[in-house]
Amino acid sequence: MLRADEDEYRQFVVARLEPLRRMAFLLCRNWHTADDLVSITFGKLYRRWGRAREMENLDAYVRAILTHAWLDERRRPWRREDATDPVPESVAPGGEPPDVAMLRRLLAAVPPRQRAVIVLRFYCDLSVAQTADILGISEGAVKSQAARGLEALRQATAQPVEE
Amino acid sequence: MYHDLFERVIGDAPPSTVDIEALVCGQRRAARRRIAGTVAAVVATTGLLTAAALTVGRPAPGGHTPPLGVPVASATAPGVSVTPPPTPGQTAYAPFVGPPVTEPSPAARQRLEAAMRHAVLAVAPGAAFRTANGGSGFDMRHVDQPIAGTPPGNIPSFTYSGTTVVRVGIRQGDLSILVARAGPFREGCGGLPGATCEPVTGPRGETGFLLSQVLASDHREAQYHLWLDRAGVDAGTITVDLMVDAPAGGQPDPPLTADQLVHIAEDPALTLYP
Repeated sequence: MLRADEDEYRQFVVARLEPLRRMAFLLCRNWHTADDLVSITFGKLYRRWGRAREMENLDAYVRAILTHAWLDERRRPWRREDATDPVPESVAPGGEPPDVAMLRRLLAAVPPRQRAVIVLRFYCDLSVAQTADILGISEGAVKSQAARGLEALRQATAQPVEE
Repeated sequence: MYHDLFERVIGDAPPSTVDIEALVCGQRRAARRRIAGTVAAVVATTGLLTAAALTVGRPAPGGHTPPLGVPVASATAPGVSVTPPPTPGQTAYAPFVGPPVTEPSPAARQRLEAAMRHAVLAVAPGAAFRTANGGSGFDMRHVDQPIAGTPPGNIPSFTYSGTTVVRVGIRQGDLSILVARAGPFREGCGGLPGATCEPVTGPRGETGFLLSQVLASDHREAQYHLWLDRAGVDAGTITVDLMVDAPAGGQPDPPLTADQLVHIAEDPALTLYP
């Protein structure tokens, strides 16, 4: 890679480092793994920078790399975790605000792909079509997988929401 | 709408452990390895094709040897072109040279790993090594790909190779040493545009050449290849390969000199026949 391209790449990843770490944390709920995922993402982006930098929506592309990196990691046996906890009907008392605790429990309870849908739709504010495009699933599948998360978010924030 | 709620779930992020500069350097090294692998494969394939052409052109016992430079047409099907025999000064690439290696692989790996460290330390006493797994020696690999059963497209080979990051003072580079039971991949310096090539002769009659090549257009990455044919000494070929990054704003500053690379390749302990 030419130095000018590398400088451009460096500027891009430095600017996106913290937002991507936060997105990765929501997916994996572990800062060490989040940093690993961001490193994997930036490594893949470096190898594809020549083409990627010409993309109209580079941020969406990078989010897609990160999401797939996490889903791939989840398929490894030593990373596999069981997400069998039910979504709580009520929030346990504690120092954490109820809405935060509710969302934390929700993210822990749902399976990986549904968690990715929730993060992309409601944290990254992507449209149904954009989320479907990143995950390679139909828009209907995104809607159905987001429905449970949306309901939980409604409960957490206790305010009416339009999809 | 829910962004703030998610942000509160995330909370305060700890300091990042993502090292952008290390990541960029690692990707540069990986890119160079891919280039080096491609170059080595092309060079080796060329040599193998030459050997195959020579084998086809070899006369039967009692026959006569055609003069050099005369295409051998009788052994080929009509319409099939054959690489011409070598011109004077070239030698044929032999997939295997010397007797079979009898040393068990685990023992050979251990012995050659120690020999590689000693060979480097003999010319650079302060050298430090770091493997991909954080070890302090060489990562060893053994390839035993016989001719029989070689998958199509693969090159038969018998090699032990060691790779490490070598640091001498403030300078460092990726060093790999390969001990192969094979003839020279190529002979002479021709056909390598953009590279500086110098012939090398060892004290025991080893012959080879040192190739220096700047890989990046901005001159921040350089590669030094040394091929040394030891067929006249103990059979086999030694390849020493050093790849170097330039510091920001600087030029590549290799941790080992060309003479040191030659001395490493000449180390008699780097042999398949202890």
